[in-house]
Amino acid sequence: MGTSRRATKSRKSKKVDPITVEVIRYSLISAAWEMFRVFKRSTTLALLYEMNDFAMAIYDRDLNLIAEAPGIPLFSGSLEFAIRATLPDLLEDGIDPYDVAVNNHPYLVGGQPADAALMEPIFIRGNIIGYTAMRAHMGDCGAINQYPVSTTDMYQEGTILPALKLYRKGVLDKGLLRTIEANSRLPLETGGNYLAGAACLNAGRKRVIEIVEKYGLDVFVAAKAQIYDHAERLTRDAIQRIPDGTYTVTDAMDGNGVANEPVPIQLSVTIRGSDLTVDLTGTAKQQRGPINCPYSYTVTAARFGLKLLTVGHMPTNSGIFRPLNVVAPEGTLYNPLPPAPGWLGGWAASRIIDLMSLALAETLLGKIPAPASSVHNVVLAYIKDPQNVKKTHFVLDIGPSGLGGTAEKDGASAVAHVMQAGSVNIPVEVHEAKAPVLIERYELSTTSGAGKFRGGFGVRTVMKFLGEGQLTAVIERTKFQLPGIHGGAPASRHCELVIWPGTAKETRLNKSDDTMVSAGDKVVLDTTGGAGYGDPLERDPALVASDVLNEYVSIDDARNLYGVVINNSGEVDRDTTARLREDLKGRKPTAKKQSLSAFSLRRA
Amino acid sequence: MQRHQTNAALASKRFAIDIGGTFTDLVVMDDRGNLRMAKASSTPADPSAGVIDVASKAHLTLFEPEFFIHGTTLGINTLLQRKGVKTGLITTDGFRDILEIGRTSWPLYMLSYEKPQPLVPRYLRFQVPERMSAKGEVLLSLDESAVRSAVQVLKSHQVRAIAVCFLHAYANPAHERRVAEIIRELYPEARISLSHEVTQEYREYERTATTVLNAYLQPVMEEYLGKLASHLATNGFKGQFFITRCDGGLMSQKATMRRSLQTVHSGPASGVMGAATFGKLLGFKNVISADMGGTSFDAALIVDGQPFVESLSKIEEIPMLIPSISVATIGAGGGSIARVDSGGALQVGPESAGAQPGPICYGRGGTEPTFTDAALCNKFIDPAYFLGGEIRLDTATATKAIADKIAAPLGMNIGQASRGIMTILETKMAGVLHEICIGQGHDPRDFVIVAYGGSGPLTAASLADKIGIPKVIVPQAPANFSAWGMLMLDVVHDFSKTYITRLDDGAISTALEELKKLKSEAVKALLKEGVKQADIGILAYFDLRYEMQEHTVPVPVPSPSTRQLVTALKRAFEALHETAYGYKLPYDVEIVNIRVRGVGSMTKPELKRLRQRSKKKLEVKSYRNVWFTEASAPVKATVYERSSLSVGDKVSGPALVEEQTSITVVNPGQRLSVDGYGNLIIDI
Repeated sequence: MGTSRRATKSRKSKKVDPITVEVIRYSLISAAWEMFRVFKRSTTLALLYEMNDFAMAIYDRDLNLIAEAPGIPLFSGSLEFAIRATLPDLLEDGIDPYDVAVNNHPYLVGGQPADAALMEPIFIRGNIIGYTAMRAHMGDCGAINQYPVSTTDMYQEGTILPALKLYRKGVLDKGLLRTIEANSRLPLETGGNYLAGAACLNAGRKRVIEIVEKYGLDVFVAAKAQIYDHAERLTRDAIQRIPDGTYTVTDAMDGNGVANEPVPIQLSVTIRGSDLTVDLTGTAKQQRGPINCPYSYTVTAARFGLKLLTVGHMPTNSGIFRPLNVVAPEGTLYNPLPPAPGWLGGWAASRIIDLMSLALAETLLGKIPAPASSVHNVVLAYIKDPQNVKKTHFVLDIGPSGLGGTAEKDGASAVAHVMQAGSVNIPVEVHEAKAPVLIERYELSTTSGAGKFRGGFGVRTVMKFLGEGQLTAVIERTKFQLPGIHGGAPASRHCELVIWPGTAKETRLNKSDDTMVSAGDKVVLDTTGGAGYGDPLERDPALVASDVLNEYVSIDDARNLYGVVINNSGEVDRDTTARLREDLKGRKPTAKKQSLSAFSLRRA
Repeated sequence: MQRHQTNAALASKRFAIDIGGTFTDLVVMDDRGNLRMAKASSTPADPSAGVIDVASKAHLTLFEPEFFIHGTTLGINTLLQRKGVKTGLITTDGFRDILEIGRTSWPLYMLSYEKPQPLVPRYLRFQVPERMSAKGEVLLSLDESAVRSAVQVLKSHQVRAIAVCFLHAYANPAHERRVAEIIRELYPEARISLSHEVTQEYREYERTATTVLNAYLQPVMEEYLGKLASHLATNGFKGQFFITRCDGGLMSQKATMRRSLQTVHSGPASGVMGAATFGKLLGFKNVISADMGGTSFDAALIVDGQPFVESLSKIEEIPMLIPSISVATIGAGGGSIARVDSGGALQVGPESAGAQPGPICYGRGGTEPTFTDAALCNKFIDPAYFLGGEIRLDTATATKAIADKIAAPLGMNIGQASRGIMTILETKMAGVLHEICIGQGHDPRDFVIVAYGGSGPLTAASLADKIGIPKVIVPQAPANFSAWGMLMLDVVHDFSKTYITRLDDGAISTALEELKKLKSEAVKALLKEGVKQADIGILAYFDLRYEMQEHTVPVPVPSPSTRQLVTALKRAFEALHETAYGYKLPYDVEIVNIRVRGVGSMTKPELKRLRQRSKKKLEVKSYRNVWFTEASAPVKATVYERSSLSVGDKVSGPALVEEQTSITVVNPGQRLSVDGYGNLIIDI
């Protein structure tokens, strides 16, 4: 017998009761997570199993996102574009149950052809009712090198597989699999990941069919409409609470991968009632190097930013995105025209998320943390095994960074960028057991923005290679920092990647894919901390004393930045502190205004 | 399981005491395997007093029993309240922040995040020059003077415990051992936890956090067990004293003093082991245990009589890199709170009203409607018969809250709204069962649910229906089942070691050498616990993986004399991989960890067959109108008292079977029968 079955079969009316709606919602989310698990446990790349560099989603017939299981949250929102672009070709060829299609066009999936999207139609009695879809960094797909950061068009970034069927009616196209493998430096891993991807789509499709069969198609269709409407309502409520206006911020990226010149970014958020527009007009033209962010990725990032600012706690679905409008003029960084290269588009995309928060920080004072100062800092090396010339090992450090302080607490230290919050680092012991590398230090780098609540700290990694090979680096925030909030300071120094430290060859890098290293060479990645929130002179002296005790803050900084005098026994000297703070306050009366205006934060 | 009246002629042989958040449960078994039970309120201030209380409440004379088995929540409570001792850490130079950096992940879609505070603050974390390679070669010898000065500073800070964790200590523990010697010399009062003694597996953050947790809990546990042992001795107990472990085994009081963190999460593990043994005794080898209490729902998969043991689990975001019974937990219990969000959707949990204030109907100040309130409004629960009538439930206030806060905003009647609360929570719980069963490649039709905990029997039949499990078994006294499970435990010692090598004919012999060493350690540990050689069994596993993968599959190691051992292992791995993930790959296979579980078998109670009572008509207690679905009207359900049912009785749903601490729900269309041991069997 089925309790819920009975409740719903008789229900033919358009409105589904709220209980059934929730049951359907959770069942679909649970289906998406099943897809996630099937894939995660069977992938063969560190990037996938440790970093969760993939995402799972379930879409309806009209390509609304119903449920997702994000590894990297930014990914699942982007699948809609891939399916939408793939469908016309599939329909022309004929689309059947158990087909699995692939599309890795970089303008649809987010910049890198190695990030492929797979999709499977869900048929009920001969009709498509939706799709299971996934996207993952599949491995290597034949770009000019394994992780290119200096490409000048997208054709250098890998073999493009446009709307091809990997499975036809459940039968694997071995020719396509061989093509994928033949164009890869990691044929087994890459091929294996495509197969694992298809397996997880199958698992999800089965679950969705069970759910739809259980409640009936009419109930399913009505319930999902209610799910979207509910999400839209909550999102609009949250937007409505933000005062109407246009909030503009500017920023810049360090370089485009080919030229090491700043790339200006301008972002404004306009609130009109319950609608929110993100406008990137004013941002640089599309770039010769690969930091271009295809429009699909731009929209996905803005969706993510919107969700963070409004209904972060709620399961993601398309209803959340309805109040959003994204403007990015054609031919610019955020809406490049093919064949502009886009391998590093993710770095540009992450700025949208950071800047949307910063734009609203003043008007939503108290609700928005100060900026986290780093994006993901990638140091990647392909090191030859000193014992076995045929074998090359993959070494990867994604330097974690610090979050900004909030109105109530210090920012967290050593975390991934919000866009990749679910991803984990590779343990030192795992790294050293697998690859010819010795990690000499992995420790907090105790610089961040001072504030009533200071930023969290970044991490310093010192790595020594034990074989020869090639080093790739993608580091940002080596030149510009975002400001603190409400009188808080920006991170006190920039992010830094130094190769061959302490030698005549010592070099600072931010983006490179042609650096050759030998056994014994060292590289130091030192990421920045988050910005501060509130006036450092208002920080609880006990917290400053604790920071000094723990060697997070030096005695000098305690005095100079926080106006707190710590005596020889580690205690706060209350009288001197009070006098010093008065004195320092007198000297910089407009601390708050300064830090914001210095960053050309404008409110129209 | 069966309750019998105390029979003065029979000596009590073994007893188990499970201390929970609210109650302390006791189960005593006599010479013939008869059981009796008692319940007393927990005494958090001095839990050892609660143990003596409950024993005297059960008229247990402590000089009789040979064995005492104890489940304690002291470890987990100490952690939750951050009441462990001041602890120091000594680690490899360059890595003192490992504990604070962690794995860098955080929950998705949040603007900010508060990382859990490390149990050792930075000023008590000392790094000393030394270094091992992943293969265990000394790259830099230990700087003993740095160790000495670190120990002196830690001593001046009066830490009570020192954790030592060096990189790759699993491959070569020499430096950690030397540090222990120096600590013993300079600061003999400090308790020492060495990472390689706590766990020999790689992953420095997890191993450091695990070692620190052990150090942090150890003095607290030592004090408690010392006190309890002397209480027991004063009261005449002369037998052996065992503590339950999170891997579903037992260890002696002495071993517990060194491995305190093994007690964390031992409660759910005992329940799962109980369900496994219980299933086997009844002839069901594939079981899903479903334990629903006040705040959480714990479920575990048991395949072929064996629960799964996982090498890494988490407690309060702190990793524990030691073997533990794999239990899936979500915040779904009687206290789960229901609310309508501003978008008009009904949400249930994960917030819980807990034991205090608890559901509204308990009348202890709860104001938010909970699952239990919904079950009461729905008439699943009789307000006059809750805990056998000990607490009179307040139906009126609970009903009003559901009417105002849930039914009115949703435009539903109270019956539909309260049914809805139950259905939503049950959907989440069914999601967990789906995940552990179908999600891991198992067919639900091959399983039965063993339902226990106060609310387990209330929901089990609906859960079984939702995911296609054909049968539910409700043991006697389901609320005391975990304590009963403790009597079913064996003495267990797990040993494991990270040992990475390709699985081929060349490497297998050294791997087998390592295995042999672990085996003899296991045997030694069991003999030390007083287990007889004849009762010792050894299980050996290799964690295997495809060379490029990270995740491993534990594969039993056949006898070393097996011909073509490597091929046999590879085949077994591929078959297990295919079950779990649906495919196999043409890659080389690697050994990652070697695992040994030494088991010292204990004599256990047997299930007693009950005699069928002389035929008489089923005794109906009452009828109640219950909302089994969100249909427009409730359905009339027959209510039975469990103690009036007898072997062979059959009941058709819709029906409710009440007992003092639980209610078993039989949905319309389902059938219930009483088996030869007095268990309730529901056919879905």
